Amino acid sequence: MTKSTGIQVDRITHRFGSFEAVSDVSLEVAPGEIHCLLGASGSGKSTLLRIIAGLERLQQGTVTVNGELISGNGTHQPAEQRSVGMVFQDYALFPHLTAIKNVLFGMPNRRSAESRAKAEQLLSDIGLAANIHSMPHTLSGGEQQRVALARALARTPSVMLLDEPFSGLDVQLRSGVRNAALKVLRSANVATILVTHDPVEAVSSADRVSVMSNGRIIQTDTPDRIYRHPADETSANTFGLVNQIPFEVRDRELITRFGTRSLENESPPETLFVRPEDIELSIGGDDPNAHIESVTHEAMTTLYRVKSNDSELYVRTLPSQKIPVEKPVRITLRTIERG
Amino acid sequence: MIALIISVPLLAVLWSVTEDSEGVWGHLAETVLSGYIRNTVILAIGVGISTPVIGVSTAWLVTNYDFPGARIFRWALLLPLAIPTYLTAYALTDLFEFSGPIQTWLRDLMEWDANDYWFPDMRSLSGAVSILSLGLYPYVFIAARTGFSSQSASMLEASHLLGAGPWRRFFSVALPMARPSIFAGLALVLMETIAEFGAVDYCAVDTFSTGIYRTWTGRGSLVAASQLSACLLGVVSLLYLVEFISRRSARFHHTSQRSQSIQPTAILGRQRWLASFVCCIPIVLGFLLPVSRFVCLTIEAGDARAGELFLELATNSLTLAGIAAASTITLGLFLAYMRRESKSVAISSAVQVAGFGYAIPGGVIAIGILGPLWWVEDRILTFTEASTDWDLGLFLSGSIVAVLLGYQVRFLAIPLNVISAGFARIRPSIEDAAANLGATRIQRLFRVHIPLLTGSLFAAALVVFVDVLKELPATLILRPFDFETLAVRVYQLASDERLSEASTGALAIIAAGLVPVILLNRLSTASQAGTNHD
Repeated sequence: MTKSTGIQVDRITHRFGSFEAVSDVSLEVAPGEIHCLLGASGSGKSTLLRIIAGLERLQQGTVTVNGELISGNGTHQPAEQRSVGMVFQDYALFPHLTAIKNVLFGMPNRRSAESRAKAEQLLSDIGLAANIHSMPHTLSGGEQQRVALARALARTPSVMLLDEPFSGLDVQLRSGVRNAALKVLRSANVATILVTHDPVEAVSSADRVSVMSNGRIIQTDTPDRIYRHPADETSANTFGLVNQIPFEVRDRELITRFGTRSLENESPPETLFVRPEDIELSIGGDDPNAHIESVTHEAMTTLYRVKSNDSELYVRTLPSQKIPVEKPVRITLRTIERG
Repeated sequence: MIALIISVPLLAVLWSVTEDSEGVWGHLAETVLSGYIRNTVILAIGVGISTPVIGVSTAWLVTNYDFPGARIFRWALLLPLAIPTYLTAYALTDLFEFSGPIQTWLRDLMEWDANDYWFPDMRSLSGAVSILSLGLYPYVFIAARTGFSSQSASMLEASHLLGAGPWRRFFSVALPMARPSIFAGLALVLMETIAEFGAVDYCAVDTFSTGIYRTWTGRGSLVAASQLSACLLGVVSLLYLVEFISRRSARFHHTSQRSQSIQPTAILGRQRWLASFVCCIPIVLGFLLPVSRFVCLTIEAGDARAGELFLELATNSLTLAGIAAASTITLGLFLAYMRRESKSVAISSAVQVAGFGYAIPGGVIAIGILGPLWWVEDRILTFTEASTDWDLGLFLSGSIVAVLLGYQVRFLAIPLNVISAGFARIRPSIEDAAANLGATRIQRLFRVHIPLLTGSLFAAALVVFVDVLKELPATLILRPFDFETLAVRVYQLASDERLSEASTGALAIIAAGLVPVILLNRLSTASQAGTNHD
């Protein structure tokens, strides 16, 4: 067996007629890494997955798995020969086959006792030992999702593609199923690409995230760094509410109306993005610089919309911090973390 | 490629227009052609008016109202579809003719003499119109019922609240909305009417269909028969276009509405019996009377040679139907899969052409097949005679190959449509998943699609099987010499006025015909149940 080196996607561009669905996308996922493709629907994520799986014929660029070119430069390895597994958004279980037969479908020597034992093991590993002879329509969404995962894993692929596989599940169920699935994939040392439009899912599960918009990858980094230091407004907005704060740079210092920070050897950012929870809100006292426009009580936090001169800002605090709405307030930036 | 072969008969018929028929065509034009045109047009108009009257009124009654027997009528109104129209013609003509039981009974009762009263003559154009209307109205009934059931109840309730009475609700809301479906059903009826051979032949009405058969069997002129066929083909294409367009708009209507479907309301008072009576008439005349007549005839006399012949005829019929069903299903599955797998416009339009066969009268197909078949056979025979000492004889046109080819052309559309509909229900992600799991294109067909399509394949095979059992004109023209099927035997006995002998075979054909009607009823109720659960 060739040594697993993960997947490299190099400069893929894909058009449907005149519409460019994927533009010059490059991506690299190491074995055991969970890489999240985050973006709104229609941003080209699913097309990229279909190209990697070989379900869509590559037009431009290359796809390499374990050092072997599978798409591009005149090569097109048929989908059925690739070492790429996929879990579909609707799971796509074969409705005429039981759970175990679904898992056996893609296995070599699927009639051998050995394969059968392996399929049973896979199903019991993900907690479906009792359901191996169930028909798909009798299983719940979460169970169907796990059968689909087991089915894809049964072929021991080097790369796994997950196309929003958790979006059909109840919120309470979702994180449990997701953590179990990703744990299996990590331990199997599979290079995994997880497509989602849910930033919470990306932050909580991915090793690295690529933010996609209009067919392009805007930024690839760890979830935390993308959250704190988004490359642009789209990237910033993908992870939720963000404030843009005007600033100027003087004597290697970044100066805003709400605080100053030393830049040292760092080059100044083009735009300063500050998350609502990185702003401190206190009762104005002698030196107020803003007033509260509205308050929204969220589950764990309280969100204030405050106005300072002409600019509007969002500030998130813990509910324990009670601030009277009618009083003038003071806002300051918390220590801005270094990028 | 396959689609091309299927369309060869059509091209052959069209090509004949340019050929010279050695005066036969001129003779036809001078003598009988105007009669063919007149009779065909009057027949089409008559049936075109009466089938919507019967089909739409009964469909509206059983969809929108509850009255005594409504539950039974919902499926019983389909029953006449089980009887091929030529059998309806034999039975009704026999019942209503001068020496038939009804007139005899009337004469005995009233002590009339032959000249004392007037009674409609079944062996006339008006008789043919009545018989075809009774046999074909279920097509409009099904279409109208589908149209009415898919309408949203709130639309009708809204018009009710806006002050429209039951008649206005029907004519200004329900009927216009169901119009595309009804037109599609009516187009089918008209295609069948124009193609009709056995019934009009028995009623002694000369139409294009009987003319084609006579020109071929009587005058032996394939070219003139082809030229007649070309005229018929022109009219049929026009109807096919109408059906195609209305079906498209019907689909549009259907998808745009997702709401509560109509629940039948009870009719009160004396009117409910009137509704039952209206629904009874077509069932009695179109199904119960013909069937009971055949049953009586069989019990009274039956086919004296039924015992010895029946087995052979039934074997012939079943063999032909079995092979035809298996081959059309295989071909249909193959073409439908090709169309699904490749997005090429060429393939999908070729498949469209192959599906046109169902609209073409059996006689036209038969005539269109003979010419090209002879040509191919001739080439092969010349070659084998020159290079070997085999004597193949008329191995194509003189064998069941010819008639099987005819069925292929005529009936391929059935599996094609049924299987395509089955494919449409399989989500594309299912086959993507199969490909992702290592199944090649052929493996995907056998391991995923065929198991999922079992129901559709079975239904399509059954419909083709029964249609072949009933088919008359193409079998008559293309069958090998001395090769008889049940339908052919019944036709010949009836032509010789030996109806009591024909009755046994007729009942066998009707019994087979009931199977797809039951299936059709199951399917339509199942799909309606499905929409209600949505």
